[in-house]
Amino acid sequence: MRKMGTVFAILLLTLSACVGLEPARTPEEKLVYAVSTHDGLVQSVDLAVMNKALTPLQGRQAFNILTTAKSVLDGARIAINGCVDPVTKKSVETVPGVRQVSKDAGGAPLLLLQAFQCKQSGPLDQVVQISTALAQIAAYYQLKQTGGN
Amino acid sequence: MAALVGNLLMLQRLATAAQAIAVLSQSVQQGSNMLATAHSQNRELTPAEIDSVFLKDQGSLAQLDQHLKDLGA
Repeated sequence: MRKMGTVFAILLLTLSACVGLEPARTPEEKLVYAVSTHDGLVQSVDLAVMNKALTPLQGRQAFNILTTAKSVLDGARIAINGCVDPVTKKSVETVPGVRQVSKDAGGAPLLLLQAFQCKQSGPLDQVVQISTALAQIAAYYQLKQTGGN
Repeated sequence: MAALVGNLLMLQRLATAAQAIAVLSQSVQQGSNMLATAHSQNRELTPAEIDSVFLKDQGSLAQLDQHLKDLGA
């Protein structure tokens, strides 16, 4: 069965390569691919839950991981575009580390897939760590926009 | 009888997996189409276009959340 899965995966990869997708040139375009992939994963989980391939509890666990990944993608968008500080009206560049994460935003779904496939704590921990950092940055700017301190 | 049920369950799982792959590829293809349109017009993606992708994703997450709540999870 495992061999069949491997053969199926190889066939799928070959098929994907043959289909030919439009190449992403800019970080924004890579982000669009990342979000599209995330959207596909969410719909797949929804489908699996509705078809009872996943139990509601498993679906909820997948949902939590996907929500974490979503916050990574939201943070990546801020990191790519930067933002205007609503108080000082100055353009704000995010920290270099976060910019690098944003450039690699297309890797977030890959980390998720690895977490699903391997069930190892490593990739998932990375997602959580990156997500936490990005969520804090996003919350900071959201707070400023709403006039908080 | 047990073998038949087992095979049917396996077929059901395969069908679900195939559907999941189709949904995933369709979603990625939509992103690709958006990029292709922008490239063909020699322009970058507009913020509204990027917003639409994020909103669609948000909608899918909300729908999954609702389905899980309906199932008691």
